[in-house]
Amino acid sequence: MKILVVDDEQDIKALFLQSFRREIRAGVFEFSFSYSGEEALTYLKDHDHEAVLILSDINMPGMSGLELLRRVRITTPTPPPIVMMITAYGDKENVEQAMRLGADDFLNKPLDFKSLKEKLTALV
Amino acid sequence: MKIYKNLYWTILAYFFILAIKGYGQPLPYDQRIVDSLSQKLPLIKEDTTKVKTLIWLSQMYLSKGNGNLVLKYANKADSISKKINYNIGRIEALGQMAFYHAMTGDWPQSIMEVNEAIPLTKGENTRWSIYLLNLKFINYGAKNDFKVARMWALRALNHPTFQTIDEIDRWPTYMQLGLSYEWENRLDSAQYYADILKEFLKKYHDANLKGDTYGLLGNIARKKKNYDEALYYYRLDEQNTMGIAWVYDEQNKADSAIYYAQKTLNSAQERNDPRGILEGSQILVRQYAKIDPVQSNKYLQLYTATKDTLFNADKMKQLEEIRLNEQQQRYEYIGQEKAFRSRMIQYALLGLVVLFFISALFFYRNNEVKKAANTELEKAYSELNATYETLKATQTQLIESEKLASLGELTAGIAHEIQNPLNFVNNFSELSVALVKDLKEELKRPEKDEAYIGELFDDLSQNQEKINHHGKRASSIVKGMLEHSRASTGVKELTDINKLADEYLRLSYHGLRAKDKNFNADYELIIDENLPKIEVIPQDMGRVFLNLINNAFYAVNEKSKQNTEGGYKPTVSVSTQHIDNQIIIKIKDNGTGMSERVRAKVFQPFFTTKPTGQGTGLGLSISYDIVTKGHGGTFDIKTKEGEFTEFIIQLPYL
Repeated sequence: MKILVVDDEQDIKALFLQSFRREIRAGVFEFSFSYSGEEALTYLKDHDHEAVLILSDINMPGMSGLELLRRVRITTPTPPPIVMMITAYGDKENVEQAMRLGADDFLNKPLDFKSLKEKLTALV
Repeated sequence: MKIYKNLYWTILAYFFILAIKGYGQPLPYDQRIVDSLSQKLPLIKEDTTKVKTLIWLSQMYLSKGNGNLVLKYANKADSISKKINYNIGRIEALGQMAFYHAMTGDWPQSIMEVNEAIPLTKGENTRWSIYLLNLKFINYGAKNDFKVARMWALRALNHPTFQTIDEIDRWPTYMQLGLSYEWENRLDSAQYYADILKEFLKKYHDANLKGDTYGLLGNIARKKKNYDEALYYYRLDEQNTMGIAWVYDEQNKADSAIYYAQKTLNSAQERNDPRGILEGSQILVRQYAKIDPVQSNKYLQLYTATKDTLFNADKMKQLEEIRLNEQQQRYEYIGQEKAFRSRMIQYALLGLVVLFFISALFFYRNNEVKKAANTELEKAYSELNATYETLKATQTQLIESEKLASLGELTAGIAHEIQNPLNFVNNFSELSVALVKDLKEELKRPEKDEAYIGELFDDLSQNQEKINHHGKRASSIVKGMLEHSRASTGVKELTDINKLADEYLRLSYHGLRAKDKNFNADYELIIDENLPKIEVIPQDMGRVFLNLINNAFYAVNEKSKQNTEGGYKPTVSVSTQHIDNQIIIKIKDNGTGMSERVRAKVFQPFFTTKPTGQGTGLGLSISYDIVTKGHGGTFDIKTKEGEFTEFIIQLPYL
């Protein structure tokens, strides 16, 4: 399963690669990383239908995660990708807005990779 | 005879000028004005207006040469003025009549009218004071009384009013002085005034001034026997056929002399000008005497007849009487003046004594008043001082509150900025624990995957670095926050401007994001990698960055709100560079920009475009002081309303 991770913090890549080391080695998950909303849109355009799941931070300079979500919901064809939003702790307002825009799930920061792994495995 | 010859011409020329100038108010004859004034005249109730209208009418008819009407209206104006004690009206009415009488050769009448008018000018600042004296000159000059005539011209020159009238109105007096010397063949003095008149010519284009000045210059040249020069000047003076006739007469060039004298005579007869007739006929008598006695005799008769009308014995006698009267009056005046002076001295002494007592009283009172005033002043001063101290304290408080306000804006940003690295610290440390577990398991296995073990070690090592990095990142933010809130040490430290800019850019961005969920903007930091560290007060410079970056984000956010249709990409960019011992920091936004009015006031304390409660209006003013006064740098703004704003800070380094 191809997963696109979108976050302006570049160290997120190291976290995912280490956390899902076994799954990556086993070919269960494949991760791509974009460091801004704009970059993510470009990736999605260039790799049509590849990413099944998008994991995006909300708080990013330039295009925010919410705007990315809005655009993904408008532009990407069926079947639509699953979109999970990564939110700061207690950020109710953003969660509500993301829900209205059609987010599938939410993850709080700091990321709990154990529960994330369970969620993702359930989707496979 | 010779004297007469010169005199006639100059007087003629002079009258001609005066006639054209309308003497006083140059009003050329205009039938429409005359009709309109005549119709209005019976309707005018107010007396001074009526007088003025009558004088205007008189002047109009003077220009037309209708003597009866000139005198009729002037007389009427004079009698009304007399009734209502309107001095200016009387002066102008009498002057008008005197002028007409001088023109027509009735010099005694003219002098009497002038004499009546002159005392009225006392205390009235009117140019008629000068014109009347000029008329006196004409009347005495006509009688060949050059010295007396010149005396009047000198009086005009030294009259207090002379300096107050328009410069252009002064030239007739200079002309009279020049002429009076020229008549007496005192050519150097005449030349002196001719030179003054030449200066007038450079400034003013006045046909009469021009003609008369060239006439005078021609006369002077002719008397010096510089005939070519004389002809040159006479020819510049277009009407001066008389002067040309004189030159040829003196050179005994009969044909030319006769030709020009005849021309003069013809034009004088046309104008019914007795002086011109006299002048022209005189030369013709002389020139024809040698070649044609019959003709000569004819012109002699004309000459004699004309001369009689001008210079008959009665008239001369009358003039002499007037002159004696004037002399008498003058003596009386001098006597009165002497008595007046001695009385004045007595009064002055008495005045001095009185003044002394008044002064003593005044100084005493003044001293008392001063004492009271000093007490008041001291009280006011101490009040002022107290107010100043209060103001200073308030200012310090305001600066502090501005600092707190900007810190308040930061809080949310700080939380976000600390949370992020702490998340990484947590995640990487948890991962490391898992990694160690994996490593242990892998090492226990009989067939070890060396590459995998290596990878695990690499990750472990990398994680330690990441933990360290994010830990430091969090602590530097805390440190920065503390530094910002702490009172400035005022001590300059070697500071990495790139780092400072980066910190505040992030703090500001996340602060605004936290405060306003709808806010979003792109930001970029373009740094000069080789930027040297410089000595600045880090807390102070941080405040500058924070203020400017906050403003930049505010501006793009405002524009975003206005621009709901999309297509606008709010961007704040901070860049650093170093050129020639200067560090240049630019903070640019593509926000709302500033109008010229706002730009001019932006550094003034308490000036803000933000809604009440959202800005102290001190941010930029404090920033400006920090950069310019605190660090010897410069602070510039480039902006275009609706498009962008760029703050440019230049800091010197050694």
